[in-house]
Amino acid sequence: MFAYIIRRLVYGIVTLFALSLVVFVLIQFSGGTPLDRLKLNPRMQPVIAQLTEQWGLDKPWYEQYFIWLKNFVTPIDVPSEPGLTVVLFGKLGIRSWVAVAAGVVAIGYSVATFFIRVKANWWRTFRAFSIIGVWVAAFWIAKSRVVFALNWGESFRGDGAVWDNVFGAAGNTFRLGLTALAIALILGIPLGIYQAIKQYSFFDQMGTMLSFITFSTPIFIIGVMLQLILAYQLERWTGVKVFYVAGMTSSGYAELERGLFGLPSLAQWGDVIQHLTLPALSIAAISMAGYSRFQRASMLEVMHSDYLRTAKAKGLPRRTIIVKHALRNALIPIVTLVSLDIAFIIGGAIITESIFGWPGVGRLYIGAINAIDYPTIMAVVMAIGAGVVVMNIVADILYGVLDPRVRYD
Amino acid sequence: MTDRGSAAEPALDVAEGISAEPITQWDLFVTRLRRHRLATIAFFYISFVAYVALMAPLFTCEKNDTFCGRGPVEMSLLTTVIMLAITAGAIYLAYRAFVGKLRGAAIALSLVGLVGVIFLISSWGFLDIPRVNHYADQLPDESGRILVNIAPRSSLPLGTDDLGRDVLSRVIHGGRASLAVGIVVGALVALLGTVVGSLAGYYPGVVDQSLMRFTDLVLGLPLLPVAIVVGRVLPELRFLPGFLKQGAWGIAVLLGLLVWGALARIVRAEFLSLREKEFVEAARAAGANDRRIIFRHILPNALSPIIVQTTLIVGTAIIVEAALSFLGFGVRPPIPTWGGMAASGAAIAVRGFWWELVFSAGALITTVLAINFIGDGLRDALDPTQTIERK
Repeated sequence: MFAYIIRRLVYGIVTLFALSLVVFVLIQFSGGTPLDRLKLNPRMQPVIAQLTEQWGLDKPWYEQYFIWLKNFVTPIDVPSEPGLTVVLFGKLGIRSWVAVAAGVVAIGYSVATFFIRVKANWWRTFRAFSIIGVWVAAFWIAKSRVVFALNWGESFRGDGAVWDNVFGAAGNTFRLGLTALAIALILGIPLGIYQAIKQYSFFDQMGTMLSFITFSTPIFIIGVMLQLILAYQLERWTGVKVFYVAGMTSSGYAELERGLFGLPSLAQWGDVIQHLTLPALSIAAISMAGYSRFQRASMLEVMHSDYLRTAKAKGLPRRTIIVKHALRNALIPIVTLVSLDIAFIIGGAIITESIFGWPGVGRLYIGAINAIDYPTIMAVVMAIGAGVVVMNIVADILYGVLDPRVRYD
Repeated sequence: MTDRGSAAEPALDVAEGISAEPITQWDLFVTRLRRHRLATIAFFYISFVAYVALMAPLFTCEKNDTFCGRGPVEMSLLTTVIMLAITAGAIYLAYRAFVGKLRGAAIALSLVGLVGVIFLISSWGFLDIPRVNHYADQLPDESGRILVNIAPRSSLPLGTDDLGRDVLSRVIHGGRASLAVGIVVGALVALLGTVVGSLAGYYPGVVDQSLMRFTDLVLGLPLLPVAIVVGRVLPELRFLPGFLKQGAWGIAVLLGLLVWGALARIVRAEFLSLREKEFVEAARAAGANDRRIIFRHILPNALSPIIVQTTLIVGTAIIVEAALSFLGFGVRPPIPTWGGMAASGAAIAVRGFWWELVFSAGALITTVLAINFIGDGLRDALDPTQTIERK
C-alpha cells in the first residue's frame, strides 16, 4: 500500500515536471515580454534594462527555466522584517492555530482511518466522507497561509510576492469551490437516490432529461443566465437587490457592525451569501447533474443486486431496505467521483470567476496570462496540477479502501 | 418487448427463417438505435447543423459584394434543380435508413443530404428575405444607416448585434468552429486513443508500461489552464501555417492532443480482457499473426466503447472550445464562434438586447445535447448484453 502511494507520488512529480516544462516553453512563444507595457514611456528605458537584467529575461529560455525551477522549490529564508506574512510558525493568530489544528486532525484522521477497523456499519460511510474533512483543512490552511513559503518570486505585474497572491486567491477560490461542492452534494445525491427509487416515473424522466441538458450546457452560459435572470431581472421585477453579480463583498462590508469575538455579524454573513450564491450555483449546477446521474446509476445497481432481493424476500419494510441495505453501498462510489471533481471545480472556477469578478485563482491566472506574468502563471499552473495529482491519488486510495476487492500492485 | 411483432425487427425474420438476407451486426445496431427516439432525432439535428455549417458560404455572404444586404441571392435554375435533387435523394435515403432497412454507406450519405430541405427553405432565393449583413463587417441599409441591435424581425430573423452584424449569419458561421472541433477532436482522439490503447493492451511489459506512463502524464495535465496558455500563444507561433493559427482548427488540434488519454485507458482495459478470451487463443492456435489478431479479432470487439467514448469526448471538446472563445483565448474576433458570440451577447444582454446571447447559446447547447444523446443512444445500441425492455 505504502509502496503504491510512493510510486504514484513519484509519477505525480514527473507529471508536474513535464507540466512545468510544457507551460514554460509555451509562454516563451507568447510574442512579447512582460515589460512591453512599459515601453510606451521613453523615461522607462533604464527601468526596463534593469528589470530585464534582474529577472534574467535576456538569458536563453532553458537557463531561465532552470533558474525558475531552482527557485520554485527553494524555501524563502525566514525574513526578519515584519510585513511578510508567510513564515513557518512565525506570527500565528488564533485563526492560524485553528487551521494548524484542523490540518493536523484531518491528516491524522485520514491516516488513522486506513488502519482502524470498526465493526459498526456507519463507519464505512463515515470514513468515505472523511475526504471532506481533508478539503476543509486544505481550505483553512490555504486561507490562513500557515505553511512555509517557497521562493516563487515577485509578480512581473508589480503586485508583490507570487506566493502571497496565489494563496490569498486560493482561499477565495476554496470558498467558492467548497460552497459549490456542498450545494452539489446536498442537492445532487438525494435527487439521484430518489430517481433510482422511483425508476421510470415522471419525476425520474424529468430529472434525467434536466441533468442531460445541464450537463450539455457550458458553465459560462449558466453563469451569464443566472446573472441575467436572478440578478438583473429579479431586481427589475421586485425592486430589491437580492443577489450581486460581482465581487466577494460589498464595498461597505467593513462598516457593517461586527459580531461577537470579531466573528462576522449576521448582516455580514448575509452580504457574503448575497455575493456567493450565484457563482457557487453556476459551478454547482453541472457537478450536481453529474452526481445525480452517477448516484442514480449506482443506486440502481445496488437495487438489482442479490442481497437486496434477499432483503425483500425476507419481508423487510421497503424503507428499511432502502435506508439500511441499499443506501450504504450505493453511497460509496460517489466518494471517488467527488475527489476527482476537484479538477473540474477549479476549471469551472476559472470561467466563473472571470464572469463574476471573483478575486480567486482563476482571475489571477487570466490576468497573469494577459500580462505574460511568468512567475504567476507558473505558480497557478503548478498549484492546480499538484491539486489534480494529489486528488487522483486520494481517489484511487479511497476506492481501494472502500472496495476490498481492489488490489494494488 | 413491445416491438417484437413489428416488421422492423430482424430477429423475428431470423427466428421464422423467412428472410433470405442475412442479418448483420449492422442491422441489429440500426434497429436498436432506431428504437432510441431521442438519439434518432439528435442524429438528424446534428446532420442539419453540420450541413448548414458546411454550406454556410452558400447562404450567408463572405464579402461585401453586391448580393449582401441588397435583396435575395440569385440562385440559378441549375443550382435549384441540383439542390432539389440532392434533397429528394437525401430524404429517400433517410426514410430507408430509419424506416426501412439499409446498409451503412447509404445512411452516411443520407446524413449529409437530408437537411437540404431546410437549406432550400432557408435559402434566401426562395423566400426573398433580404440578407443584411456580412458575418464580420457591418453593412448599411439603403439609407446608409448601420442597423445596430435590431430585434429579430422578418427581414432579420435573429436580429443584429452591437456592431450591426447579422446574428443569423454569424450563428451559421459560428457552427463551423464547433464543427471543426468536433471533427478534428473526434478523429484525433479515436486515432491516438485506439493506437496507444491497443498497443499497450496487446504488448505487455515495456511497451505497456512506457505508453501508459505517457498516458498518465497527458491525463495529469489540467485541461483548461493548459488550453488557455496554448490558446494565448497559438496566433504567435510563426512556424504554424495560417489556418492553424487563425481559426478553430489549431484549437481543435490542441484539444485533440490533450484529451485522448481517457480513451486510451479504456481501449487498453478492453484489449487486456479480450486478449485472454478463447477466440483469440483459437486464432493464435490457427497461426494468425499479431496484426491479424489485433485488427480482425480484438479491435472489432472493442469498437463499441471506442465509438461511445469518442462521441462523449467530442461533446466535451466543443464545450471547452466555446469556453476558450468566451474567455478570449480561442478563436479571435471577428471570426464568429458560438462561445465568442455568447461573450459579446452577454455584455449587451444586460441592456435588454437578448438575441445574440440566446441564439448563440441555444445553438451551442442544442448541438452538445444532441451529441450527448447520440452517445447515449450508441451506448444502448452497441451493448449486446442490453435487453430491449428499456423504453
